Amino acid sequence: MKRAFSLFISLTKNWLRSKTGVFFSILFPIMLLLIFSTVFGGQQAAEYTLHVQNDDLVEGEETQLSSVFIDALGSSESLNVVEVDNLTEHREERAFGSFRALRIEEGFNETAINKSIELRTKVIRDTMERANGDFTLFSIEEKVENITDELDDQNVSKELRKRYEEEGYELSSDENISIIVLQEGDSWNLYDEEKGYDHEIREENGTLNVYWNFEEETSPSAEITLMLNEDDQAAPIIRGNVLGIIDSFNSQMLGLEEDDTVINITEETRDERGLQPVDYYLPGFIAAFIMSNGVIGVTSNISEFKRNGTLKRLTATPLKKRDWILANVGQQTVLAFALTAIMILVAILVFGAQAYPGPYAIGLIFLGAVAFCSVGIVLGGLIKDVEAASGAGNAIAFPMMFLSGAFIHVETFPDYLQTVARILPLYYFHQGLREIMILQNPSDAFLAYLVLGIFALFFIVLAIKTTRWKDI
Amino acid sequence: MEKKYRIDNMVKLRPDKINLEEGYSAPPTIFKNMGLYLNDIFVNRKGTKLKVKKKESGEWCVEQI
Repeated sequence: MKRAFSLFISLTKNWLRSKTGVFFSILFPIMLLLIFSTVFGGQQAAEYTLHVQNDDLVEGEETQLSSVFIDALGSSESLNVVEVDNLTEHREERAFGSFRALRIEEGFNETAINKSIELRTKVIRDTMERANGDFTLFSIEEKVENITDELDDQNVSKELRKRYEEEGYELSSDENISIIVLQEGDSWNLYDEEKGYDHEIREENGTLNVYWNFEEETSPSAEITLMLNEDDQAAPIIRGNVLGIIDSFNSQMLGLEEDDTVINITEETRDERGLQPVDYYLPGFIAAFIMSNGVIGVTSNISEFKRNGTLKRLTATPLKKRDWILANVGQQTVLAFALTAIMILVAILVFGAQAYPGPYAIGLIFLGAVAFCSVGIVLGGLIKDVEAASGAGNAIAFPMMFLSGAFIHVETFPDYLQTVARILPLYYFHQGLREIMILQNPSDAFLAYLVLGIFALFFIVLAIKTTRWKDI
Repeated sequence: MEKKYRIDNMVKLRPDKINLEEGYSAPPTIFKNMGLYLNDIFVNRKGTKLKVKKKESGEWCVEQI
C-alpha cells in the first residue's frame, strides 16, 4: 500500500507538471462547457438575417400590405430583416455564405385583398349553412316528376317558379335572359343573374332539394417566394418563423384579431426549479472527460512510460502489479473528483447552474473513474505497440463521447443511433449523474450504478489479468 | 529537466536486482543503474540464480543458470 501511494504521488506530480495533461484533463472540458452552455443556452435567441425584396410597388412606393408584412417579419425575434433592391446581385455577393431571402411578388397587395374578400364570403356562407342545419335552402316534396320533366336547359318550369315564390324566393320575370338552368346528371344548376341566385337543385329520394351552389372559381392567393439553402442548418427555424407570420397575417386578413384564437396554447415548464441548458451539459461534460482521462490519458501515459523506459525501471523496484493498478486508479479517481469540483464551481459561478453533488454522485464518479481507468490500463497492457495503444484509446473514447449523448440529447439521434447510445456505459454515467446532481433523484440512478458497477468490476479484473508486470 | 521529473526518479523506491526475474530484459543503462554488467551472476528475491546476457536486439536480459 505504501508503495502504491508512493507511485500515486509520483503519477499525480507527473500529471501536474505536464501542461498538455492539465489542459486536456481540466481546461479543455471547462472551455467546452463554457462554449456549449453559451452558444446553445444563451438567454437571447439566435437572430438570422433575412434579405427581403419587395416587388409589390405602385409608382415606386411599397404597397400597404407588403409594407405591413415586412414589418411583421421584422417583429420576429429570430429574424433580422434587411430590405434589398435586387436579391440576385446579393446572392452573387454571398456565393459562399448561406443565402436566406424572401421575395414579395408583384400584385401581393391586390391579390391578398381580393382573396381575403373571397374567403370572408365563403366563411359567411359556410356559417349560414351550418346554422341552417341540413344545409338546404328549401325542399320541394310534391310533384317532383312534373317539375323535372319540364326542366331543361334555359327553362324553368312554371311549377318550380311557383315553388320558389311559395318559399319566398322570387325568380326574375325575364326567364329567357336572366335565368339559366343546366342539367348535370341528377341535378340542375339554376343561375339567376338578376337576383344573384346560384342554386343546385338535386333530386334526392323523390324530393327536390335546393342548395346554394358554392362551387365557384377561386381567385389566386398572394405570392411570396422564400429562398433558403437546404444545407443551411437555420433553414427550418427561418421557415418556421416565416410560416408563423404568414399564418398570423392570414388570420388578420380574415378579420380575426390577435386575441381571437380557436386553440390557445399555454406552456408549462416540467421543472419549477427552472433548469438551464448548462444543467444538461454539466453532467455530460463531467462524465465524458472522466471517461476520456481514463481511456485516453491512462493509455497514453502507459504508452509513454513504455516508450521512454520508465516502466522497465519501475519493474526493477519492489513495486508489484497491484501497486501499479492501484496507483493509476487512485490518480484517476482524484483527478475525476478535482475535475468535477472545478466544473461545478465554474458552472455555478458563470451560469448559476443547479448542481448539488452528494454522496451518491461521489460514489458514481468513483465507479466511473475506476471503470474507465481500467479500460486504459487494459489497452496499455494488451497493445504492445506504443502508437497503436494510444490510437486505440482515441478510437474508443471519441466516438463514445459523441454517440452517448453526453453533449447532444439522445432523443435528437436517429433510432439506430439511440440504440447504440444505450449500449455505451458513458450514456448511463452521464444520465445517472444528471439524475443525482441536477434532478435530485438518486433512485433513478440505480441503473447507472448497476451498469457502471458491472463495467468497473469486469475491467478491473481484466486489467489485473492482462497487465504482465514483469514482461512490460 | 525532463529527466529530473521522470516517474522512476520520483518514486522513492530503489531499483534492485533482487526484484528481477527470468526473462526480464531492458536497455543496458537500466542494468548498469542496478550495478549489473554483462555476464554478472546474482540471486533474486526468490533465490533463483540469474546471469546478465546480451540479446540480439542490443538489450540486456537475465537468464536462469
